[in-house]
Amino acid sequence: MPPKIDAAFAEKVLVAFLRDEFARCGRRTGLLGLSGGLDSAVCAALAARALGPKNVLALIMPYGKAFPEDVRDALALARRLGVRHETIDIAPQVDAYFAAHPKATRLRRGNKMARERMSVLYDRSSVEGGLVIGTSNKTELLIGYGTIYGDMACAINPMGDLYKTQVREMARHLRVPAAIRGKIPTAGLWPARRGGAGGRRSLGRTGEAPCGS
Amino acid sequence: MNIAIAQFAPRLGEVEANVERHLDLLASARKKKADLVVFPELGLTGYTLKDLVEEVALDPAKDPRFRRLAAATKGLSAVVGFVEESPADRGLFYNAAAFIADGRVIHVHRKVYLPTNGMFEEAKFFAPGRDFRAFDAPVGRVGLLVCRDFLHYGASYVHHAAGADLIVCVSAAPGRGVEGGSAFATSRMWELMGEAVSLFSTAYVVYANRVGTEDGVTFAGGAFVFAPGGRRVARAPYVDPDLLVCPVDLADVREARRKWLFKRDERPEAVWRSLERIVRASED
Repeated sequence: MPPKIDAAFAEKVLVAFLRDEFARCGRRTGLLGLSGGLDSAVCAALAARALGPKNVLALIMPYGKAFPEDVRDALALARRLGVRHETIDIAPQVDAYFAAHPKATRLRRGNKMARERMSVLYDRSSVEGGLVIGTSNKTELLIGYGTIYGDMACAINPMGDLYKTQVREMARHLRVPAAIRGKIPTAGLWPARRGGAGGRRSLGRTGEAPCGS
Repeated sequence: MNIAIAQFAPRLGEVEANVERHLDLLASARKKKADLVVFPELGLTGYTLKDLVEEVALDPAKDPRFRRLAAATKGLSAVVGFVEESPADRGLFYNAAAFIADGRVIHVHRKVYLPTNGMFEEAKFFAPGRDFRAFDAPVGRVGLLVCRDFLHYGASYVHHAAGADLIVCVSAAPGRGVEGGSAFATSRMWELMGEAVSLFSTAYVVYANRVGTEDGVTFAGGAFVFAPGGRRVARAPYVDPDLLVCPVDLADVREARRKWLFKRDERPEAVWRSLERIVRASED
């Protein structure tokens, strides 16, 4: 098990890091994808503290009607943090591509969704003159549990040195709602085979990992 | 006398801006009656320089920016971290700390131990120093160290053997490990070393560190002063900037050496003979 952390101290360090890097780049606005899961929730809370809620734009980017409970949790969190937020359905751009590849595996579809979310974030980032904040944690980065040029694409990645278990400690400290803290980790790329809060089961339990292909 | 430690975040690669910051902090420290102001490692340049090293390197004897800074030390002393390139060593760049007293550079220490592992790349860009040399300054006999030098206890030993009253370490130490205690785990490592060195050397140990972030790395701050015998007398906050001012009395050095006798009973010649034998054996 990774060591437990002093979450208040880690918060102080990460908030200072975000402020420093934004100041160095001469940017005020941070953008991030808010999935309704744990990592992006912690990231949004850190960004709101570091930059001020009005300088954070959270994009909620569901694929069609998938995972409505995650969308609901993401919206509730965005309101609670007081950050700017928008919901953008990525189904049209994903479906347009796969119309020509109807037999594509769900891994391909999942990676494509992650990259479409990236393209939306970066498009909006240029409009806002902001920086995209990555939400990957150290566990994911170490084992390659992410989509290259998808959810791994960012300008700054404040939680890249926190293991998943430590992100969970941060979530408690930052008062992320229990509905989000209790979720099973998922990439939100496709529905779970059976039950679950949505999406594939956590790492090391079941399911395929998306890979940087 | 008073020792001030300027704990701040230098701007990477911006020597002019950092000189201005040093001048401001010197003026503030002067107002607080400081006799010695200690700035962090590479305070004039920032730490993660890589290929910028050669562009920010300067000759302290000639560089007008450095001379301007030196001139501002009239009536007091300062330790300043910078990249040195001297005419005698053209094309070689040293991670250096200068001791400036009353407008004049009286000593330059070139960092001997260049960390080059993990996130550290110093030996790729810097030449290593070859010497630890204590010297007499208006504030007492001083031994300078730069960051990693301090973690090699032979370095402090040499200053102890040379009779240093003050062992001054300037650092750009990142913080790692957030397991608890509202501090980085690495900060406790430096403090442990400070405590131990002040105990065994019966000297004051002055440790300056920077704050701020560079390329995802957070510098830990937490500057401190230990009085002889392992007594911590001041500590700056972790992570946040500060201008720490701490009264220091060299009578404490005398008192510690009278009491503990490590200095009186030290036998550098025995250490020297042993080291010579070890070094010779390693060459065979």
